[in-house]
Amino acid sequence: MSARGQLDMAWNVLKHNRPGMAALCFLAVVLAAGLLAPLIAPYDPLAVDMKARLASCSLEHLLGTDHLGRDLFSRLVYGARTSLGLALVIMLVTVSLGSLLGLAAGTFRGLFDSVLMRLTDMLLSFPSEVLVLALVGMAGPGMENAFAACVLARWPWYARMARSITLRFRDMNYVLYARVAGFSRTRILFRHIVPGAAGELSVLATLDCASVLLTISALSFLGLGVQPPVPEWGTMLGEARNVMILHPWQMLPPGLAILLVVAAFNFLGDALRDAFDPCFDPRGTTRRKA
Amino acid sequence: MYAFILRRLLCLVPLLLAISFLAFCLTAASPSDPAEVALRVNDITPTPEVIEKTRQELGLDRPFFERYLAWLGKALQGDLGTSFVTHRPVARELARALPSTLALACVATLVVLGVGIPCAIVCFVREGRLADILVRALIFLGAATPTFWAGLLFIWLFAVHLNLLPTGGLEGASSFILPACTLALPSLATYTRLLRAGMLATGQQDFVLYARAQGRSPLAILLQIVRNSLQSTLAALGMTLPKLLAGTFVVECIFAWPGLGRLCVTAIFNRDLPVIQAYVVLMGLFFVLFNLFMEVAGALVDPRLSGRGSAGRKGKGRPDKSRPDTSMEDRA
Repeated sequence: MSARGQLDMAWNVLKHNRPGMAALCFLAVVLAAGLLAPLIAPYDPLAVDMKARLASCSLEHLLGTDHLGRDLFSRLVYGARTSLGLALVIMLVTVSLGSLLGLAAGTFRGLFDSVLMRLTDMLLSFPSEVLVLALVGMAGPGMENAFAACVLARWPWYARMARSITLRFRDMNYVLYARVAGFSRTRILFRHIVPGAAGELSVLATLDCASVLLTISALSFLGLGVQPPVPEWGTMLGEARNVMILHPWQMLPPGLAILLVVAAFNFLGDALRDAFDPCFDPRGTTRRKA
Repeated sequence: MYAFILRRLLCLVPLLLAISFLAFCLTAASPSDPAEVALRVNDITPTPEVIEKTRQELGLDRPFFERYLAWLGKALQGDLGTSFVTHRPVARELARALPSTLALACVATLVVLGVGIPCAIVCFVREGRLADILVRALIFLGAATPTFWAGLLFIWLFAVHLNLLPTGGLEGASSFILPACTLALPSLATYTRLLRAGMLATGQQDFVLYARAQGRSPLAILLQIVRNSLQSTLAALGMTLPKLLAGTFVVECIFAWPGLGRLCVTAIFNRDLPVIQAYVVLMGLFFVLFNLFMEVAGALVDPRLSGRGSAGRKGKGRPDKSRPDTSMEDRA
């Protein structure tokens, strides 16, 4: 089966996977809300109103206000832009960087391949959390540094994966045929190998989106990532923590937002895996009638 | 067996060198001048003369590789430098924080095993029934809940609202409960899911059918299935422990736990570069040694593995994302 055919088939399977499609729609809605935040949010997320601080839920302020009187619903909507947007951009950069290097290593082999693989060996001997913390620690707290740390800590996975997929595909019959037919290396790479790799990479990338979102919001929560007053779900939780004794409800919206988006990414990742690998039984096993 | 362990130990030497080099490079590549940072954290105005003097004190005027070798030589003797902030040896500060972090990670591991194994057994026995669905829903929720949010909710519910447990700090056994449960939550979800899938796969193997045909008691069969599945999830458990240890920094900050993670986060805010560097080296050392330990343990359980030598776990995808080993059998 050609690589393109595989993508079409995967989409057909995914279309009929209800939890997966629900997750996809949910993520699309959240992303749209984040992008259209100025139209949806009733207030400026940074507007301080000391007269209305720590107000409870009302028609005026749907989710109440925080310790500076900023509207929590507006901050939540703008936070979608920062949190989800940042996670998606980080994954896009990571996947492109990692898989380009991996594809190149798998295609050209030689010295470049061995140097790259030793480098990934070294980076992968740390768990990504420690590597991110170390990189942010050395470069200092801040959104740009957290961004760079996440990319640097994760690209080796994609490089290794893209490399092994390339090595697997290059001996497949249709690739050999394309080579015999005299197609150029780049054409073979982008027409026949990249689409085949896209499936496996997208499954890992979708699941990784969830963990990047968790990492970024954890860093922001601790004050190491996105800096206040920028609305981000982790930063909002960090602010809610300071008033948790008297106003515990403030912890709910940002926490639930993270939970739902992470859960949606996990659902979507599982659905994609089923779609790209129809032989894999989602229950983990096929029970034999004893 | 000894030859196998020795061979693996020898392989570690270049890896450890690489890790130490990486940790050293991180400071060297740091955008701020360490001498200036060292002065600023002590509220000394960094005039050019003072900076020059500090650079000489810290040895920053020497070439890069000379500095690396000097630092490595000292580190091998247990000297990891002096903290910019407290002016005490970094090694001693780490040694003081290490036991509480290890204790927390161990208790969290016990929670993972103590809750995960019974939950997986319940799922296996009642597969497809209410209990199974309930546990699986909880697993899913646990995997998606951010640790820090769970920690805050736990503090609010058990410490503030019900006033049952301390909000933080390390005082007595009761202060372990909330941090350990928070820390264990994501790993618990992963491990239970893997073990459940492993047990369901083991349950359809021929030896189980044979034992049933022999008329052995269901309990004995169940025990056998559990034992076999625990073995196959050993590698997954091995990947869980480093994750627990790495995840401690968030939990320690929430619960004011006097451990390594909080030490490192505080050092990041203070720009205390030697402490951060030492944390990275220590974590790297720990993970490498732990991987070796798991490999040896795996070889002890299944002697076939020691023959394959370097067919390790590296680069085979993360355990929580790769599907359980059993899927290969299903496809066959």
